[in-house]
Amino acid sequence: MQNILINLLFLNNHKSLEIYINMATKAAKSIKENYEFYNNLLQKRKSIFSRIIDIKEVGNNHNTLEKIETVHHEEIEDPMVLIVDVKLNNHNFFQFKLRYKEYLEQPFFRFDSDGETHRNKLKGVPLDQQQVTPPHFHKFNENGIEIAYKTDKLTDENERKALEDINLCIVHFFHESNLRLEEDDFPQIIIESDSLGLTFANDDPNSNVNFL
Amino acid sequence: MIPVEIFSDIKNSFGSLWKIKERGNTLEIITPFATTNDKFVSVFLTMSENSFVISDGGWVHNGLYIDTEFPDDSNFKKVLYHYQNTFNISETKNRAGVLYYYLKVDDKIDIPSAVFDISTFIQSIISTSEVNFEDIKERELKKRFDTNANNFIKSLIPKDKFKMNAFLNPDKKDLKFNVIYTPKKDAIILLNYITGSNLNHFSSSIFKTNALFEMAHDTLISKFITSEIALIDNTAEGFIQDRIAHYISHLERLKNTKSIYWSERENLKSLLN
Repeated sequence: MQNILINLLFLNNHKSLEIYINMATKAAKSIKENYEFYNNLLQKRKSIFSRIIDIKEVGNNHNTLEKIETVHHEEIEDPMVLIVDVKLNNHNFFQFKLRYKEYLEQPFFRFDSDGETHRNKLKGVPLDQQQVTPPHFHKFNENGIEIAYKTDKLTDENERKALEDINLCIVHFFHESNLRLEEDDFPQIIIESDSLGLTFANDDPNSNVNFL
Repeated sequence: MIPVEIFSDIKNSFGSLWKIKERGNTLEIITPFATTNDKFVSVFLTMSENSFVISDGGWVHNGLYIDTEFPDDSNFKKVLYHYQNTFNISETKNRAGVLYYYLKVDDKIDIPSAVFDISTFIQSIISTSEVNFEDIKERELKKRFDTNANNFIKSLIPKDKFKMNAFLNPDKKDLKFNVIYTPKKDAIILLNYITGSNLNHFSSSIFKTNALFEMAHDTLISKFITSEIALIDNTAEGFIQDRIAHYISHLERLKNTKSIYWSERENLKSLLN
């Protein structure tokens, strides 16, 4: 009996240890184990069905407007979604995310127009090149590590400037993730408050804050 | 001897990580400080009439660095307050209620030092927010005992006469019991489970049950409570009889309170019927 108890205890600790190790590396296991499947998710043609993406509801985060659209991928049955997030007080700060929850809890592909700067902590990459400012895309590498990158369009200053327009940018996102509306078309995004003549483009987080 | 140029490389690489972005009247400064979830810390510098504000831009609490909810764990808070006090970081809220961390300096000469401090603060707390302080062994033991005890109770009493993990007063949502059993219209039996993976957790579990039973007596429903039963996991590692015996006898001093050891759970039958 004593032996059985000790074994059970060991097993229990071993499991805990595994949880800690997974937390420490933070690699997405499902991606690392089958990278071909991940590439298939990203590269195969996907479709959405709404011609107009109408953004008016406040999402999970109270400072963000959010719209969720169903995405069809012919080899996948579980729901996959496109999430379009726009910051309430700054409509130039938007994110497009592709999420397939059964496979990975967090989005497996993402675009950030603004926000935090990412570090690609990779061996062989010089420190200064590990820093990727927004706008940038996020995807996962073959080791299941999330990395940020800029496309040629995002590196070109004129093109980058043009892509501040959410409707031009979603076309770029659709190309990058092989997503389409019907044959070879793209949806239009309408932010409700914008159509009322109110645009919010305050990207200064310190404005209107009372620092005593 | 390592060539000195290597130091120049290090210094230049670090130095080139500093970037800026103009945002209205504010300058975003992207710093070389990165968190354990691979985000570079940004701070926001604004000049007002006679002073300079260096803030986190509300990014810490706005979900920019972390996707999950900001931790509420008491261990995390100890670390947060430690850094906040060390660097003397002030806080305020914007109109939307987002918490901002900031430093204010009057003299330009103090700006770099403030940027250094608030960056270190942000880097430290965002990285710490990734640590899971929860005791996994305790959580699993509790889960296992709850499941075993729930299954046993379910085998003893009719399904429509009890609630599990329920509030005594659903409107108030304060006193929560493992089982609330209503054998008759005007009778309530309360059951709570006691377990723990070490002595400390085990005694806390006794105190919690004790407090819940006592508080139930102070409610309007108390006159309907016919008995309170503590089901004690005497197979748990934290059950060290001579160290906890007096806590259990203290628990039993309450009127109508009984305790049953898990190994003698068959005795529950007569108490519930």
